[in-house]
Amino acid sequence: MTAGLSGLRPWLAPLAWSLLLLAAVLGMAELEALFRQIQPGTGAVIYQRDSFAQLLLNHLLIVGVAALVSVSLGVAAGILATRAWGRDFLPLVSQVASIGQTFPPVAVLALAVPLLGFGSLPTIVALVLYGLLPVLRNTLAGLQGVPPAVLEAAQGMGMAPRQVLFEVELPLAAAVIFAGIRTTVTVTIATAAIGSTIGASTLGDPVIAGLVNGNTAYVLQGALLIGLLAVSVDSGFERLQQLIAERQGL
Amino acid sequence: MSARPMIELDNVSRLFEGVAAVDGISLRIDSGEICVIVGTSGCGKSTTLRLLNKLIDCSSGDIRIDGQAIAQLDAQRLRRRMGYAIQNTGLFPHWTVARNISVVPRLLNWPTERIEARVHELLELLGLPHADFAHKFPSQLSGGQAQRVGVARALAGDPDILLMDEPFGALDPITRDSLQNELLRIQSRIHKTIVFVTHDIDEALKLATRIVVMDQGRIVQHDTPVNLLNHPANAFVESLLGQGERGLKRASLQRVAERMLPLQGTPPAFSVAAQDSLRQALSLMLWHRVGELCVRDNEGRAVGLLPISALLHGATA
Repeated sequence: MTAGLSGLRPWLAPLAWSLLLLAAVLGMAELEALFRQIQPGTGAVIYQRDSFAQLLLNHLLIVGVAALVSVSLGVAAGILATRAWGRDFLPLVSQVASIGQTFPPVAVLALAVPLLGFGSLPTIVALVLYGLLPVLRNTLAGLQGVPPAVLEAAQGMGMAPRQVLFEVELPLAAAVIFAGIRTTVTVTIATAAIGSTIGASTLGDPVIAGLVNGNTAYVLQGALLIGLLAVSVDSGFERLQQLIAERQGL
Repeated sequence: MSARPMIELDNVSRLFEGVAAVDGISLRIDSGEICVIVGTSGCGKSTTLRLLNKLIDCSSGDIRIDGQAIAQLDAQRLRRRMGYAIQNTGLFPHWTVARNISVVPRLLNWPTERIEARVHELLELLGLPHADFAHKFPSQLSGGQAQRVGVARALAGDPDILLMDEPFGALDPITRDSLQNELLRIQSRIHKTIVFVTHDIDEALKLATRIVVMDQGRIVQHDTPVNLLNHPANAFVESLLGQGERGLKRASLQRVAERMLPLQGTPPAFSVAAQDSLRQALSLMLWHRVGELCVRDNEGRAVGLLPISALLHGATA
């Protein structure tokens, strides 16, 4: 029993944040009195158009798809650009990713709507572009950080290029790549909210509705949930990073 | 003594952007030799070594290993047949010592029991007790221990050929000296063909059966250590040997046992071991201010007399 509890201990922070998020999603209505202080008057103070649970689910879905795509693309492009035959692409890949990050996501949304219409799809496209840089940059840094002597030894021992990549390079770069994935996911969670401006259903809905109607309580509710979600996921990733480091005996 | 050529280079060149790093060299290394390639940095010695396991391809010329032209061989298979040890060890930091050593046997698909037995054998051969070291990670080893593991890893697949690129270059002098002795001890048991690259002429003189001196991508001289000292081919080799030190270097290649005279009368007060070099004997004479030493064997018995005159005369070839 005590062993089980001590095994659980490192997961305490992500667990606590997730529970807090869950409580906020389900029990937001209980805080009506509090929000009434912030938003006096006769109007509604708790966002009602969709349930918070539904918004959270939609938000997670959009983030999940976007993060999956940007992580896959970012890691793949990072690997490609560090292969002997792909090295010519290295400057190009880094530049494209940097440009993706410098574009404000709102601008990407504005550009995406005429092409892709309103809704979740343009939001996902914008999020993918925006989330690409951290994971790509860290993949490049991780792979380039593998000591040259280790690579020379791996080749000199007669490992095939595929074996060098999967058995040596990726395991050694894993911690750095994972840190990039963590940043990408966290940034995507926070940025997904702006999808609400072009009709995607996210936790940004209450924020946008609150801004439009001058209802500070709505804004706070949306912001609170987005913040809690980001912190929950981020602390989960932090724990996973520790596990990776432990497995490598570092 | 040495019979068939294990490694043959035939007019081999390698150009980098039009500049020859290796310029038309021909070389024959016999089975069981320790061939040490020595030269200043940028002379092409490391490039030559990497041509042998196809980490770099020749621009022109032929290389044959055990009679086979390597141009026709698959690079990965060729490398698994050759041990490879490098200066910064290149140990895989995320794997234990045992896993590091077993890399090539795994690539060769040896059965698990054979791999385990081999790891055990090699750790003991290099003086790293299996129980203490097998499960350590490279970051937990000292420089000397890490390089021992590097050598063990290079030997793991039981290759005929061992390629070593300045393997002891980053070690402190004491550790380097003990690993050099270790290498000679191991070689006397396993008789591999070793190609060893270094910039340190003393290391070359100590380890080599034959030395290849390279300068600007060409072979300047290929000879035994004694011949190199006695007949340097040109001013470059002379400067590499260090003019003022040549006498001492030659003395360090010869054993006391080769020069000692029969013991007559009472043995002198100070002794030297028969296995020691003439250089060590001379140093003892200078230190104790005596003109002769008593020579003792491994058991401490007095077996001969070494007067200072014996250092000056005798077969120097």
